[in-house]
Amino acid sequence: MININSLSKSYAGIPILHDINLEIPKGKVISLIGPNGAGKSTLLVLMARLAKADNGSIILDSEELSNYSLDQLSRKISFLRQQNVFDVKITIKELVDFGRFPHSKGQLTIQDNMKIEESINKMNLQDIKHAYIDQVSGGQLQRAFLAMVIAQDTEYILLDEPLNNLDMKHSVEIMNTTRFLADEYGKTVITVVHDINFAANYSDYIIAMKNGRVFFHGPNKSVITEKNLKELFDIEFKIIQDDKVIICNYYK
Amino acid sequence: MKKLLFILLTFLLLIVLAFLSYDIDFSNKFVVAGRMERLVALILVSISISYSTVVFQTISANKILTPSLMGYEYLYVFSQVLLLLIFGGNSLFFRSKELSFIFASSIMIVYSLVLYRVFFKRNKKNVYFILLIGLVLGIFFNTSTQFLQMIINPNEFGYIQGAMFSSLSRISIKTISIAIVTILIVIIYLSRFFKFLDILVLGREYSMGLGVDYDKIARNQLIAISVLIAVSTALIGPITFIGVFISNISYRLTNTYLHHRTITVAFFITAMFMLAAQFVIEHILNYRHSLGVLINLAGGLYFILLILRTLRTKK
Amino acid sequence: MTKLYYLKNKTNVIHIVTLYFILLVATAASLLIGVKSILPNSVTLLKHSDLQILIISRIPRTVTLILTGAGLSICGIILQQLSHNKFISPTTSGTLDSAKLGILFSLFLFPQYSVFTKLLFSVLFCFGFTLLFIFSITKLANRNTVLIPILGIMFGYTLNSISNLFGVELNIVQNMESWMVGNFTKTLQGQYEIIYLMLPLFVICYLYARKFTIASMGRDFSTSLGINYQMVVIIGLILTSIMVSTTILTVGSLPFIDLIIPNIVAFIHGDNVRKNLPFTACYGALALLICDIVGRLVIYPYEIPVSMIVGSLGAVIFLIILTNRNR
Repeated sequence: MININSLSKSYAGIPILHDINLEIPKGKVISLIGPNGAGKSTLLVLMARLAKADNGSIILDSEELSNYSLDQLSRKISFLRQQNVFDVKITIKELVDFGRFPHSKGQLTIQDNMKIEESINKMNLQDIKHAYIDQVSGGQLQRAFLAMVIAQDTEYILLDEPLNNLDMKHSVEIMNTTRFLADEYGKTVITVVHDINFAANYSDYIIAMKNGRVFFHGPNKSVITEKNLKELFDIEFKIIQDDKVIICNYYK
Repeated sequence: MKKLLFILLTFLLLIVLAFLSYDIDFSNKFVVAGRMERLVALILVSISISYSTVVFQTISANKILTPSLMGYEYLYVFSQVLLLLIFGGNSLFFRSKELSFIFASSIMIVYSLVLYRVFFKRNKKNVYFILLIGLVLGIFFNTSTQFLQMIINPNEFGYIQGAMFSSLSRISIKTISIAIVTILIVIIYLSRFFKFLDILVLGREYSMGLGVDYDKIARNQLIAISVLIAVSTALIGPITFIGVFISNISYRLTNTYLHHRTITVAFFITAMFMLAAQFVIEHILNYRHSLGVLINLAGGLYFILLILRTLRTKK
Repeated sequence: MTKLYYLKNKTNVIHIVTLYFILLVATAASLLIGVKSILPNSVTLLKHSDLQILIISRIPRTVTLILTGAGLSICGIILQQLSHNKFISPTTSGTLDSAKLGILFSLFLFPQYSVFTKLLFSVLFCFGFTLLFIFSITKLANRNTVLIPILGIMFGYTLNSISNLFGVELNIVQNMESWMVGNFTKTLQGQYEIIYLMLPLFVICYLYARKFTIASMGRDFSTSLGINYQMVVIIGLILTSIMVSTTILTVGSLPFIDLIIPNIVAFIHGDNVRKNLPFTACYGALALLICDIVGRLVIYPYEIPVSMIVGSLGAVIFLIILTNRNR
């Protein structure tokens, strides 16, 4: 469980987050939604402790986030960045190996290798695992990084727009993986999603942000309403629902 | 990889053999000792250059930079000119190789420490920024040197011309021993961080995410690199471009990101290249040019080649 | 709206008038100060010897200072536009070093030929190498603002290492260094006239100013506005090459002035090249005049070469600009 209390952050005098208060449930898929510039990525960065907040606190499993050592934290939380560009000769398999570093410190054990194989299989990278990362497509690279995060095997997984640059098939695959991680392994996946329909259909819990504040949050069913979405995105929504899917229509 | 190492090792040994034994009278102890000294000095410099360039390129995430650009050589020449002006060509600084070696390397180490200290605080994550500052300071030293040169009398200018280009004229057993000890200490200190080097290629955020304190390691590495560069510059003089040259060849040959491989191969190439260049200078050019001129020329041409290659790649 | 524009225009005019007035004062000072001072009150009845000094040394020197300062600053602003980078100027793109290499080549191949051969070689080398650099960086994937000038300076080092090889081979290292040091003591009547080449070039720069601004938006943007991007880049580089070569041949290399003046002007007046050009020229001339006067006075009756002052002050100011922009 992550508790966020009156968190605020500004960059170069420009406030990005104001007074965020949240209680993020464990073992669920949580989607962060909202218009551009709402502060979603910043919130994620603060939770991964890649930057320091100006005010307020983040409490991770009843312990202040800043009290964790870097090493402890790397076995607790993993983070997938939005853009991943590297000019290094590194293969997909080697990238996924990095995910085990917090556990093995460089010497891979049998158990580590099993985890690595498993996440490579999970992300369908078996055929290209010896390809260099500058030779594969954007979607494949994205999956390779996700595989690294899965191999890291942390309780909390933070994803910053994992569906960026992906076609529909791969987007569905990624969202199914997040579901699988939460349902089978009991992981907590917190992800920034721009496509409202993916958020509505694949996550358990929604946090909506606007202008650096939490706009609304709660379990999917209760917060995905036409009124909420209209106010959040400033466009008209029509929600179409049956017992399997929920479609938030904002076209035309 | 094993095959590659075997080939490189064979070539290196051949060059070493040629370097030591070509056209030599083994009964002349003085000549033999001189060649041994030069060999050891060049090997030491090769270790420093290969390690520092490869690691610096990892930290800066850029394969056409080198830490030697940080203005060291101009500071070095500048400090030599200053010494000459203040104490004169007959002073202890120019007669004692050890003293001038210690003086030169400490001034360069202090310089880089100040640079890192001042600018790391302001601008935590940007290595480019520190590099540009160093370069500008380099131009500053260079302008100052040009000015001082004008007021030096031409007879004394000979001392400076010696300092402007790297050569092996200023090594001695003592300077080499000091260099060996310093480099050894640095490497022992660095060995604690070897296992983190490969992680650094992922950049700050992922390194932190994997439990590696990127800022601390990058800072320590940069400081160690500055010591290595300072010692090698003080040992054989300015050697700006060789780093870019050898690291890129090493990346091509090894085709990996693993530092223990890229650094090892880079070391072999540097050593081969330097020894070959020195061999050419001694036996073919009859000392008409110095090591630095040749190395910078080759490295510089390679750099232009790298730039030209960007022209062919499509945007 | 029109009124506001008018007011703004008016302050601009006042600004220019004041600037040129200061420039006039500095010019007068530069004419009168020297080992043999000429007193203002004696101007009306100048002695023959004083007149000689003025004609042989002071006027050439002052004219060169003004034209060089203005010219280099204009070169800086053009290269900034063409490279889309605030930190690129002849100092940081290898232009100065290619001029040096060119002059060395002409010394090597045609040692007996006149200054025009040197100029020709210098212009050719400047143009070729700067063109290579500018086109390469526009294709670079990583266009970090700070990385580009680093590459430019490295490029300059490379060219310099080739020059050094030649220098050692021809045994003219000290000689070479001494004529590269920016120094106005050698601008005498009969030797400086080549600097007047600057005047027509200024006019051409002014005529092309708007096109440079458009070119700075990139190839696609320029093409869609019906401007031949490549042509504009080439013309800009030819202009800078001639200006840089001329100054190097008359006074030597003066680093940083081309980098700093455009940055200061942009800081005060914004980024419109055509509007800024007169300011840039004026600030550049003024800066160089003042540095030279200081150089003449500090260790009077000896002189510190102006490049020494420009280089050290320039480096410091550039570091300040850098740190402020990157904070």
